[in-house]
Amino acid sequence: MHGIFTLLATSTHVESLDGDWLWALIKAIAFVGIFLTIVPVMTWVERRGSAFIQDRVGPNRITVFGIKNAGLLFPMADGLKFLFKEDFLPEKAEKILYTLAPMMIMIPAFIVYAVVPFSSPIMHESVADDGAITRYIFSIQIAPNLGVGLLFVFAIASLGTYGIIVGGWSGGSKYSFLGSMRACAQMISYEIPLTLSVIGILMVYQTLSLQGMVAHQTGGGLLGISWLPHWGIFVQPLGFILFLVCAFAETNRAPFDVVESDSELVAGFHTDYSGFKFALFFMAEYASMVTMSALIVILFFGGWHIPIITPENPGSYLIDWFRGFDMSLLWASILTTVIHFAVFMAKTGFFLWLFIWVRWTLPRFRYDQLQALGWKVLLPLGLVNVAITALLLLFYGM
Amino acid sequence: MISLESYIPALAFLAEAAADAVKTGASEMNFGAGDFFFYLFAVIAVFSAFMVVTAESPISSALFLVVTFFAMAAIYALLSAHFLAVIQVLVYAGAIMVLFLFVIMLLDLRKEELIEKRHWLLGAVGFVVGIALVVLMVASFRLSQNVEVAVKSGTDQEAPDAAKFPAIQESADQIDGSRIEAARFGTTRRVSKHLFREYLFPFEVASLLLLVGIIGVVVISRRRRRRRPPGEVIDEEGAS
Amino acid sequence: MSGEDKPVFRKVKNRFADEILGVDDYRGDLAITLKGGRIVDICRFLKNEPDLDFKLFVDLCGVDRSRLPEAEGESRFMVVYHLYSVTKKHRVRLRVPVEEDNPVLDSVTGVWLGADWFEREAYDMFGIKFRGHPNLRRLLCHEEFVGHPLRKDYPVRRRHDCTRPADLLIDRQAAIAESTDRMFINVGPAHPATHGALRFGMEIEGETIVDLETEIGYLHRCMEKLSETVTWNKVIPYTDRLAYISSGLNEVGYCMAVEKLWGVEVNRKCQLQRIIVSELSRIIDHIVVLAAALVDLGALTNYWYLFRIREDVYEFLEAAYGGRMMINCCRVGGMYRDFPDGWEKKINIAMRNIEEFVGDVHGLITNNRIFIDRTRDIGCISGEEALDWGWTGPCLRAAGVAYDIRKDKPYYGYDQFEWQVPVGTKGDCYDRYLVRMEEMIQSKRIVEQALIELREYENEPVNLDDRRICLPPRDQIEVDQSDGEGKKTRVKDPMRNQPYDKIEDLITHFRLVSEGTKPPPGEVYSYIEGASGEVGFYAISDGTGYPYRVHVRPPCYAIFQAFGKLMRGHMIPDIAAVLASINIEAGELDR
Repeated sequence: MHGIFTLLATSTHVESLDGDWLWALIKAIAFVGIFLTIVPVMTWVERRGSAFIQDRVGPNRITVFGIKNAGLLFPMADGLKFLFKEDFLPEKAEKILYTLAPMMIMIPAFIVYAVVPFSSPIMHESVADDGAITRYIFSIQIAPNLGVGLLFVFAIASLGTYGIIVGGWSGGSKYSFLGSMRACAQMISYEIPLTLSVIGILMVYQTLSLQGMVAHQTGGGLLGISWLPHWGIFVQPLGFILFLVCAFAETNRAPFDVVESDSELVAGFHTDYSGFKFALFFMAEYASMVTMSALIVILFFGGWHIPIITPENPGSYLIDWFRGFDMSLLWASILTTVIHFAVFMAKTGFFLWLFIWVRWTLPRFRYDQLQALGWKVLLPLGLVNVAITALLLLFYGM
Repeated sequence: MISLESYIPALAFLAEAAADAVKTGASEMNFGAGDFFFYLFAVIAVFSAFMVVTAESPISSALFLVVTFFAMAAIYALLSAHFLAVIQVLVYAGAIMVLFLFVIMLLDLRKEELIEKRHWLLGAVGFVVGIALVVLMVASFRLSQNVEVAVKSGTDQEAPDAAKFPAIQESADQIDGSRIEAARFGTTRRVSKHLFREYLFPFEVASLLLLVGIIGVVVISRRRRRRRPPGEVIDEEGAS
Repeated sequence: MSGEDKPVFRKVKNRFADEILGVDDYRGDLAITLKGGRIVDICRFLKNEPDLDFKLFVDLCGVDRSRLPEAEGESRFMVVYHLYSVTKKHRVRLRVPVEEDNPVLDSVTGVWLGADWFEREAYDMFGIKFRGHPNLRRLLCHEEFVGHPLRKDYPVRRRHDCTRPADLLIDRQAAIAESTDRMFINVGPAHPATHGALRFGMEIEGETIVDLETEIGYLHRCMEKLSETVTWNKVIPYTDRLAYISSGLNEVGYCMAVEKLWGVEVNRKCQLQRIIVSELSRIIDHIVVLAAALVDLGALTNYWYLFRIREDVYEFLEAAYGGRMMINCCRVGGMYRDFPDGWEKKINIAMRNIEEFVGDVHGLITNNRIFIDRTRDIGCISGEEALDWGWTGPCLRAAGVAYDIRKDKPYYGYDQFEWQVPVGTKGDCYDRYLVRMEEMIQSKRIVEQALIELREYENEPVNLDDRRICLPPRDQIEVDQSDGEGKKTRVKDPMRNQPYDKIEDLITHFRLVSEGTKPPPGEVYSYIEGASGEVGFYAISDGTGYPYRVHVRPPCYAIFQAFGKLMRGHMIPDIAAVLASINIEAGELDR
């Protein structure tokens, strides 16, 4: 039980700023801004990272006023290139749908961030004369009170399929059509094991709210070991592996990138796209990678939680530690929030790197082999995981 | 072992905060943001439903149906039925309509192919069904007004209709009860409790029906096509 | 000059005495001239007779003899077959005269599947019609092309505008249009998986390929016609551009053919240098094939690991001959020049890196489950079928037939080195991958042994001391080279030669360069183990400085004709896997 939740539970009265539409709007703009920035950074990491893996230098040629920057400005150059390129419209294209498709894939990719708890909430307290403590809370999350958080993520993410299908179909090209057919079948097939893989962890956490899940994982002392945090990875190792595999498939990343496999379908569903429409597809891929990484962190790696390993006091938390310095709750919680946000991003960053790492290591599946893996391996394993979890919960409790 | 109870107060707080938000949001204005969004999504739903029927290309039709589903989901969400809303999007918009699109694309239906001469009987049937739907709609409107009356009058006097409508009694209780209860009305926990306790039998029957459907589909599609080993020469008649 | 007593000829004579017009054993090539009437029977006999067992269809080409002095008054055309028996290790050349006014011959596609494209090519180039051929259309030239370019009366500089893409799968189009679940898809000529300009159309059902037809010729420049317009030595740059990623091998093969026409053998030092260049070329060829194959399967990182070695090899080739891809290193009777200073160090770097990076790729990919799933049992071909199609090289060896010319008919003393021939079992993409990986290691062993032997010949000349063939030797000019610290040393500048000091040498040089070396009249077929199979050169000399006819037997041409059949029943993603594994180099395919 994290110090933050102890604080909330001991308050006499709690006031929340989360219901305020204006704040929600500000937060939404801020987070979308942050993730729009992450996308170009990710393209840079992808290029430099693949160069590192492949024993070469990678893009490093852009200098500003003679200052080398390890190619950091390449994403900007890319963006400009996309903006100035011809916006090509194929002859046989269905114009409206062809234009809408990139938006259809981009919008869900960003809506999903609404329920992601990026950090612990900021708090402030006031003590009344009668000793009643009122605590004010400000969540670092756009829609913190959506109880169905995880389902919301899945539901919105599943809408991204339309962008791919419509994009592939409306171009009127056979290659992109085949790509979108593959996308269609693949995304539906892998949504099932993806959903199944989290059922086990839902049974343990007993909540769908992402914030609630993080709260559940903040406890220590798993299996009687004082320093072992109650993270999902330790509770549901099989569920984690299944989720990870399905996450790769749902984002259409290698080795599951049959949707746009360049050696067969040229570029799959976005073969005909150029200019900024193509850039939107490109960005959506990275945006959904960020989503999936964030989800993995929230579900299995404790979200923003830092397992503080002090053998003397395993139950101590950052916020308690800061308050020990005679700090006001507001400042202590702001500091905590900042650190927690950094931790969350670091964990997410690791999984983003994993996406890149895997892409440059593994070959691509064949389309039917991918389906076989989904239906014949992952789905049964997911069911087994649910059954085992249910039995353990029934007999031992968790 | 960490006990579940240890963090329940925190969650309870969250729910409370949510209820606060709902309450302040709704009571501040007469025509609140909630109302505005209801009418917005209602208009979208009706318009796109109309387009489903009138759109020329089947793909556009299907996509408008997705929009309808989405607008419906939004209305569910405005009614605090978050779970239902999300399931609506996840299942209908996210999976079933994708399959519909898949099939439409597979068969490559084009605009002109669908406009064929229709039998006069079809028109007649359509007319009758349309009338029936209108009657149903009006009836349900009147019914919902009754419910509102019952809810409003629930605290003042003995509700005459309460016996007839057990659900009304329950919702009246809820409104009477804590705000947390109100906020929890559409939660996953509440829905699943209904589904797996009170309506377990219908639920199982429905899933059995679905299973039958799945097996049927598998049987039919297996008979249609047989797998070929690579390298085998495929002749003309092989496919159909 | 007589093959009368050769067992192959005696067998044929016993059976078809009436059909034989003549026999020849020029430079050890048994050539039987036959009447055209019963060619299919004779071929069937040659293939099925256990003692003859000519299972491998090597080559078929036409010859226009209208300008050949010794053929005056004979039939204008000659169709030439080259056959080989893998088990009996013997070869035969069949020559069938075809009349100009009725250029028709029975097709042997019923005997060997591999005759398919070769007959189409002969039809395309000479207008010889093959009766009973299932699909006798133009292949290398476009359908709108007029005339037959390899006929001697076709002007070299004539041009045609060809505008329309060729129709593929013509007889299937109606069925495809009718069907709801079938689709026609065009791939290429510019598609990421084709690695060069080639095109195929396929009929697909879902993602399964029902039928596939290829169209080649986008890079066709009629190299064989061009060769007839230049002197023997000037053909070498054209051969560079056949299998352009292993250009050294083509040059060695071509020069061997001309030397065979001369009846000379090059110096041991030259042989060793050619072996080193050949094996390095083989390594870089395999690198490109494997790297491209792995990229097509989505494993891009391996590409970079492998291309590191290629870069090392190119460093050496560039230092030695100035070019990287088109090295133009061989000359008839020798080499362009001796290896430069510091060559051993450069080769050693490459050799060391091969071990390391090939090991890395093995670690990354060979046991990778996805890779195995993608390549195992994909594009399978049995050894027998592969021979029938005329497959040679790594693809044939992957199918279980241990036919390697370096072992079966060792040239340049390949048998003195210690090395082995890797052989596959199933003939699928995975076997082809493994065979190539292992061949790189074996080539490395050969290079290392050749290096040791080459040290013994440090101060000997590379070129033959024969003024009919090679230029007179000249010393290189010595220049000062500064080591950066003010110290100067005298070194030989490989780019600059001393002038001749004797008038005889100058005249010889002038005549050899302007008129060319003039091998005695005759025809030979010379073949070496190229990177993707048997690279054969069928050369006819009329005694002038210009080739009368040079025909290339490109290994991937024979392999690629089986592609359509190989892909039936596979899925679209398998195209990338199979196409990359059979190594199509459009320069060689289209010539």
